[in-house]
Amino acid sequence: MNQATAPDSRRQRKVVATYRRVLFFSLVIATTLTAMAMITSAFFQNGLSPQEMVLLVLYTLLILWVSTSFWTALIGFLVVVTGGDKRSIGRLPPRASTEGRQADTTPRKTALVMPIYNEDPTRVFGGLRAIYRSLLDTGRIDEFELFILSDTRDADTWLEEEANWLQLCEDFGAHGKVFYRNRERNVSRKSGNLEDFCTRWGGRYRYMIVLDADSLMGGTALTRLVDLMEAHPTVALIQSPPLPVNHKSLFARILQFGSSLYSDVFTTGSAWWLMSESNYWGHNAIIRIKPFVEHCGLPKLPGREPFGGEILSHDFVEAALLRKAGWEVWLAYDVKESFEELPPTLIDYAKRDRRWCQGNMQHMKMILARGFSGISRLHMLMGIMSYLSSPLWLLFLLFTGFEAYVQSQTVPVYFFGDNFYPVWPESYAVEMKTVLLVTLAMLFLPKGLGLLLVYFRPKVAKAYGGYFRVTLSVVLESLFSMLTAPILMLYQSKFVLAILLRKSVGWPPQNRDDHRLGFKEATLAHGGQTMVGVIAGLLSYQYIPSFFWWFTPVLAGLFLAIPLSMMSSSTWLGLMAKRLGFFLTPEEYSPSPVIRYLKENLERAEQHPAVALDGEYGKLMDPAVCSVHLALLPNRPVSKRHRYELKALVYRVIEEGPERLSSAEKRALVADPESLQRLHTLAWSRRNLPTGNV
Amino acid sequence: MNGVIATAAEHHDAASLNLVRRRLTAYLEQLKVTDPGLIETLLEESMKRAERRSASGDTDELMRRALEEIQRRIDAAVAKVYGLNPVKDMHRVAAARALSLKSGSPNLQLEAVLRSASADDTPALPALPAATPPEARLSMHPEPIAFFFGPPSTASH
Repeated sequence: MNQATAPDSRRQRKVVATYRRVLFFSLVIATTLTAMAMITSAFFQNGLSPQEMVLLVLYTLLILWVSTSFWTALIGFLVVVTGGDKRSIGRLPPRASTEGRQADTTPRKTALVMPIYNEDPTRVFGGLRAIYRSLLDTGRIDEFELFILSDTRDADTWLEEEANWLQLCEDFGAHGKVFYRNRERNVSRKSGNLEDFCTRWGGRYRYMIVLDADSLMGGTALTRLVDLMEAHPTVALIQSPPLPVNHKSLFARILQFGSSLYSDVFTTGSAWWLMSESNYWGHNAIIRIKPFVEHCGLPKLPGREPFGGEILSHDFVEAALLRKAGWEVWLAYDVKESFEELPPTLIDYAKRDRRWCQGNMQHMKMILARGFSGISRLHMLMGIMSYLSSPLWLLFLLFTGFEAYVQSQTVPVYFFGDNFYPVWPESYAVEMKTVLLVTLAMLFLPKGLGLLLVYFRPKVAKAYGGYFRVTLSVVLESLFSMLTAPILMLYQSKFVLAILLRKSVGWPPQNRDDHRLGFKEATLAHGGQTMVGVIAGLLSYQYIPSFFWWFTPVLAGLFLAIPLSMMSSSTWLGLMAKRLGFFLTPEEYSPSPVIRYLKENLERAEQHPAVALDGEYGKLMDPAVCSVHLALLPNRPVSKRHRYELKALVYRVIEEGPERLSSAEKRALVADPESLQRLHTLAWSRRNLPTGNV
Repeated sequence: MNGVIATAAEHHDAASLNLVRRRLTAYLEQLKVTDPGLIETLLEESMKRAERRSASGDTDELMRRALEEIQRRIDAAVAKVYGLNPVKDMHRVAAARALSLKSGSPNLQLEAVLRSASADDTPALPALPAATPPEARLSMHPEPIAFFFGPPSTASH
């Protein structure tokens, strides 16, 4: 047996992983120490002032973070150009041995589970239809079942989801293959939703593939993940790297382009040094249900929110718990046809960040959990740093400005003591410029590596719009990310501060639809940042003009925040750029079948919208929707008291109109068969029924 | 029909009655019942019964009761055709109704069901949609997490 086909023992893998990590961390630490040495040599010339000490600490933390990213990308680049990683999960030979574990005897069936919460049903079911059709194309549909796990609270959306579910079953003849469940109480949010699935139906399946409401996975990716799990019985979770697709707004298209171009080097690099200790990103991943159920029941953290209470970013913790129990978690960087969507505007992006920030900051506590592996702690630390780096950069800028001001106020003394000759002040310009250039290089080089990979592959270059367009797109994307970075820095700093001040955030549904930002909305969101930019610019120009010019990239982003946010939300500009071949991605140039199916579904829904029988009574007007809903409602006895409360609510609807009810009251009515039928009849029997509905 | 209208006309003005008829027709059309003869029969019978049960001159009540009567007749027809009990099997009747409204198959359409019910013709009960499969339960307990500093985690939910 040659090395490629020899059974890859656990011990062997451990040795390789250790070797790779030692190399990786040596490079990261050596880079950090070198950068520190350069900046220290500049600072130590005249002794270390307190602000220099702070700057040194901040710079060390930031450069450590930057160099981790840099080396991950560089290694990823080298792995890709040398033909891929032979020890990645996708290329390891199948392992017959369960390495001492009990063999999994559950039926070899996979549940595709999609937890949803007040999402747009048109998009959700458009995506599910595309996934189902793509699975049909593989000829392996019998191995899969689809579960829509709704936590939706909004009554109208709930009704619409059910109607869409039945239509999907009818259109594909998929009764008994596609299931729908709406939880009565959405305990523990998404993780509770999945737990409910596992405890009720988990025994039917060996694996589950978790999808987000905006996830899209092709049949080849889904079957590949199942095959990989079957081949590696000691693996509990395989994460596929989802690429953003399906965007129209300029903002999302630029981000989509960046992800498409640069993510290869990052995911390949991460997979190379993480190997079987990778992470879980919450969706587009396959999970072996048995170990998940045994080890991933999430407890409540001690203390109150935002650090205590329910675990928000459950994915990182679940991966850590699986690792703690000795199971392997892999990132299959070479699994294609795994997609997701991005927030369409800068403001929506920031709102999503607000939720994620709280989830990640909660991991501050988890880092100190007993029994977690060092790599699991590192995953959490990296999650924290992705938000904490913003306030650190902000502090770094503030202290740099302060230091520059102090320097500008220092009057040089040329003659002191018994010196006959003047002592010229020393310039650290060379050292400081080197530090700056090294930092910038580490920040921007991964983009260059992504571009270089495209240059090596002419077909891929064509799919990105050709050499000229892809190069110009990278330049424009870098400019855009440079301008938006300070805006996000201020947002994230604010979020971190709010969380440190123990201000919790709710669980608002994400806005995934394209919409052009108005001046008012943009001003309300970015007005403060613009003011910060103007004031910082005036102060630096007045008091430290030499610093001002270095500071202009940051100031420009803040100063232009409002027009930038408005302009980038435009779908017209996004689509125009697409027509001109800018920010083009291979997924746009030559979409995989599942993307085409989704597009067709969404276009069909747009051209033939469901008959709008709504108005003030919402979907209750529609007899088909009401029938489906009634059929799915559980038969539950209602207490006398609750019956009276429901009747009172119906009378309120009659007297005041349904719009006066709260969302919870509407849901209570719709959840009761008797009230539902009464409301349906009421909706049709009122005198002022809009003529369009008759 | 004229008999019903004549009785109702004693208590309601022509405009109100016209509104009720138009509304009931629209409702039936929503249920994909488009046969004019069938619509006419259903209207006549429903309004006749509704008229008997509603307060004199109250068009709103007449409309509501007529709608309820149509719903009752449809459910009775669905239940009869599929051998279900309209009260005890309320959810299954609703499922069959939903299937009739969502299905592209002409045999399952409500119009066909209504005709079958009156003709004592009982087609085979189609597989009614099941939203969830039979449960196969697993237990999942919160994994306790202890910390180097501070109290441990607590059980979930």
